[in-house]
Amino acid sequence: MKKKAKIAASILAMSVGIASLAACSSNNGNSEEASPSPSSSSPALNIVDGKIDHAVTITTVRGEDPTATFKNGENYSDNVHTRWARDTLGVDIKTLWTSPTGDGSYDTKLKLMLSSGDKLPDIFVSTQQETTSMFIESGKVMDVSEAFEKYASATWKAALAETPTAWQPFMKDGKKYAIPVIRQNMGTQSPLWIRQDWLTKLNLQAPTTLEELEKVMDAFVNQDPDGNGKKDTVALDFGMKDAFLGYPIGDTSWIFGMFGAIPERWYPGEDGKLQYGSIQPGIKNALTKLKEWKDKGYIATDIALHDFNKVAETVAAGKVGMLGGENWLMVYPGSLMLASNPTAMYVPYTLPTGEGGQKTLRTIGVPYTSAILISKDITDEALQAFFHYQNTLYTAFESDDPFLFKGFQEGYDYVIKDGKADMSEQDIPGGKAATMKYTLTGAASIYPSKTLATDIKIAKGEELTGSDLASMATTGIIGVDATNPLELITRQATLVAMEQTDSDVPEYFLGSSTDTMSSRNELLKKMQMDTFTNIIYGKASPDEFDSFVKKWKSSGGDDITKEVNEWYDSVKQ
Amino acid sequence: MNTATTIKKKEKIVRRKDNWQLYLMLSPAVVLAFIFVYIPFGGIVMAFQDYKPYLGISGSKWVGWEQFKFMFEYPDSVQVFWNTLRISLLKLFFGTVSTLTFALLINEVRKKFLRSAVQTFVFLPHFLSWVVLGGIFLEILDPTNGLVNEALKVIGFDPIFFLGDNNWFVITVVASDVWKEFGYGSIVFLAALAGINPALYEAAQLDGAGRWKQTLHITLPSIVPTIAVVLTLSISQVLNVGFDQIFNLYNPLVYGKGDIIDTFVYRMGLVDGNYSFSTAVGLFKSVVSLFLILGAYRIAYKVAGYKIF
Amino acid sequence: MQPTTTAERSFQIFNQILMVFLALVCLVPLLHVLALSLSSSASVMSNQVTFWPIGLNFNSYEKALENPTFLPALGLSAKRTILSLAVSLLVNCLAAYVLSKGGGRDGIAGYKGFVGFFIVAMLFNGGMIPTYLLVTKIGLYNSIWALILPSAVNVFYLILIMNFFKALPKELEEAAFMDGANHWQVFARMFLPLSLPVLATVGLFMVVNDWNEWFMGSIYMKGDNVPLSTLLKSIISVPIVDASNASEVAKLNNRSIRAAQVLIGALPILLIYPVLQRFFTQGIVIGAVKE
Repeated sequence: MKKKAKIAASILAMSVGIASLAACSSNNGNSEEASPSPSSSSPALNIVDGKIDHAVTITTVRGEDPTATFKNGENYSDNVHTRWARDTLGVDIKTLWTSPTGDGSYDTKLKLMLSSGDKLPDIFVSTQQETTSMFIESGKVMDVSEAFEKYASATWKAALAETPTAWQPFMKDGKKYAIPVIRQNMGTQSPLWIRQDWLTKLNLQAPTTLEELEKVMDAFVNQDPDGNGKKDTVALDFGMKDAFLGYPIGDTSWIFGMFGAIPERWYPGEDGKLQYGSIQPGIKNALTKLKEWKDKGYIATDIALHDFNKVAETVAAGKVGMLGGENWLMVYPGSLMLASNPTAMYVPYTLPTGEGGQKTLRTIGVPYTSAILISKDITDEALQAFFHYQNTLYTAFESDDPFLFKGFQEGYDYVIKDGKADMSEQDIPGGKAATMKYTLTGAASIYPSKTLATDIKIAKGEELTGSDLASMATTGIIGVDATNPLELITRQATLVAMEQTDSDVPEYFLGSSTDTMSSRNELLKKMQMDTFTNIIYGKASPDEFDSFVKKWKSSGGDDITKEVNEWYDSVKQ
Repeated sequence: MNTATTIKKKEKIVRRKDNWQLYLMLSPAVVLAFIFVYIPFGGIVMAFQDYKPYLGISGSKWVGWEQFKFMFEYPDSVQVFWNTLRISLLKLFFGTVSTLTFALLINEVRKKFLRSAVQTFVFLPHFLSWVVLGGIFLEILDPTNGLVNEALKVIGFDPIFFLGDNNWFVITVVASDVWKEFGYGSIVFLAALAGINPALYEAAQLDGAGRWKQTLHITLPSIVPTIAVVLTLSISQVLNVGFDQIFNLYNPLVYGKGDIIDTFVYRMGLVDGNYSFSTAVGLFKSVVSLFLILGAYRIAYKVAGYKIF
Repeated sequence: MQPTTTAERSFQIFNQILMVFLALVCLVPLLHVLALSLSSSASVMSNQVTFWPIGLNFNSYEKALENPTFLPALGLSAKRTILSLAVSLLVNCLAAYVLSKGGGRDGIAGYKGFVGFFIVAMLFNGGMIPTYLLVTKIGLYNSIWALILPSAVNVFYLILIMNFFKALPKELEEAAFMDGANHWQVFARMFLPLSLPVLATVGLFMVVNDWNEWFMGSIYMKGDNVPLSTLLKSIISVPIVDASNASEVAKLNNRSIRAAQVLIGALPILLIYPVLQRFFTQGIVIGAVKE
């Protein structure tokens, strides 16, 4: 018996030894090597006519976007855009590997790359905050503050200066460890989308107050708006299966916002300190109202099972009267609804006022999508080459030539006909392919105010100048895409959203999870989901909310609030 | 050591002299298992660390039993453990009974064409992923106008919110799993049935035994070893209930009985990728499995008189 | 073997009806899924499709087929499935042969130790990270063997085969040894042919598993050199929908592609099962060998 135990122990010891050996040897890349510091007098690259003489190679890895399309046998590593970057900019982008983003494979591979101690690629994009934080903590990515200051063009800097909070998630000890990939967040707020054909049919007006909203809701379920003789419509749909917030279609923030609070968001209270929305008193009234609506059949019986997909399906099936959602609601899932019911139409309206006439609150999306991480071991040449590449993409916002990127866009995003971009699928030989997905960041470069100005002009039907069109150049969609008329509704929805920007409550806490969050968030979240859902379903009385608040605070919520505010104080200037 | 050998002293086993070849035959499996399973066991120590990928196993901080303490002291862990066990045991019982019954019944079908057609069709649900099935179930189990509730209404019952009621949720999960896997699971038993010596049946027929008696006295006893093996191995997997299924069907209304270990660990991981915690939970599950499999082995030996290994 | 009594005849009829019913219960959802895979995005999303495609099209299949890596992925999957079947079956059968002899006179010393070794290997695992480090450190990264060797030993199947071996009549084996056969000969000429039903079963399970396993493909292989299962998984992986990709997502039609994926996943069993069918018919094996 003893002998057996000995053998077992030695086998175990051996395997531990081997594995830790592997881990050991893999970690010597972590030594504190001198990272290229741009302040040291590094020679500037020799750039002739926008092209780096002696092309510089940048290595990268990237997530595959299932909506990206390729033609002519191209792929991420070799395509019209990478050839353009190499031939006209002298930047040779070498993709080491690719992996799908949607199912988490890309993040898994990034973390494995970090665990194995392999050399990081020069530049790569991380979309998950948790992964990004892990890289930042590892000390293997560089502090980009200086490099950005030194090499980024004035235009790029100006664009990022418009969204100062986008840097916050990537800050550590006052230093910036990643460059945010910013996006246009104007338009991510919910207007109230209403089935206009139902309104017209039932001879109703768009609601401007909570009371009017309830009247419309009643008509949308009890007066058979879809005219099929069955009571099978819902007045209002939203997602609440896995969380109460975070559904771009089926947003709940404005519903709670009519009662003065937004769940699952950190935002300043009256004292200027960040407070957690889920425990604010307004939530109780909102939940009571939702229960009433559920009892009256205004919302679906199985609303607890509705997530983004289920909401999209219900919308596509033409069963939903009203909902909150981002500006592209008519593109998806609206277009699917149109396919089976061409007369159906959602029109965006400003949100009705809330309980007692108070201003309705709602959320607005974060202004960034992902982070550009730069390896500490990048050569100064490659670093400059990357900035040269990215600066070039940002020249679109200085130019008045809409076709300044035709080198990689023509024949893919559009063909030029009579000096205008023709973006219809059948005119482009071999079909349309969005080249912005081939870029290093996989997304269009954005200058929020300029992009927005052009969007507004289009929404209002104004004439576009050359520089307006050029500001759209990085998206590859230059001008109004006649083949996609629903995009116009998207822009109009942005206009509607802009009328109520004083309702917008962004997420203020953009840091990575705090210590107490790591150990207690799951518990607190489950407690909240349980309580809210049971109140809506009448399985718990609304007073349960009060005991939830108490329990939330004592189970770690108070500590989290403290930690969140410490973070907030550290970033707020 | 010496005393042990003297006490246990038995006559020396005399083996065939070419039995050393047996070690040769066993070696590929031993070597492969050693390399690909035993060497990575080093990773188990993560359960006793606060593992960070960039620090590696050698560089991460040791925290002792911290992860386990956290796991056992977590307010929901007891509930989640029992939920897992409840769903799992129900699945095990109904799954085995239905699979075995089906195998016995299909074995009685004498029409060759029918037999092969049915056998092929019942395998098909195994290939449906829960993501796809989740969508289908949401649709047909819809409490207001789903197919199943329409049918219930016709025969005069009140509609049931299958996925929104704790008890119905468990029933739905078990039933849908049985439906999905009974055909595929029956393959093992069909193979065992095929191995029964036909001479036994011929003899029984001469004695005038009917089909029922033949099943009872020949078929079942002949496949007892297979049943014992399948049950023992399944019992060891009792804490792995099928994450995909629960994840695609559950919702806050049924956390009470529907939340299982794996979905809980998943939600924990969402907060931040906690490798150490999930390793600790995995280790706990493995240890429980080890006890269960040893228990099942003993029971199988006592009840059926059969040693599966 | 014709049923003779009325009771048996009525049992046969009842049984056949029950079997047809079960087959339908299993087939109908598949037909639904097939219809989904052939329907238009809009009709799928709005839940109009039952058992007949609405807005018939083959986009979902084209989406998969037009992917430049589809054919290489199919090839890799086929190669992996066949190689893995051969390796796994051989390794597990050999081990099962040895262990089926137990620790006594016919078997090996240290039997219990080896059983424990395999049971522990079945129940415990070191986790993804150390396994990944090992696979890459020994140079298997992006090699087909990374998809085969780590899962080659399957203790579940090993125990299943071993128990089947144990049930084989001892006399045959002893007679063979009397005639001067060695272990390898007894294994290859007697045990394997006599165990065709269990080999067919285990083989079928292995083929199905290897064909559909996607995770190893996603971490051990490069993006352009993955098995079909991994490729399909990436095609259906849902992006985060936002303003920049909403119109592509509207065309993507995930549910149809998923449905197509199910059918592609089930393909091998649909192709192989009819061939293996005869091994699941009672009596054939023992009878054939006795001959």
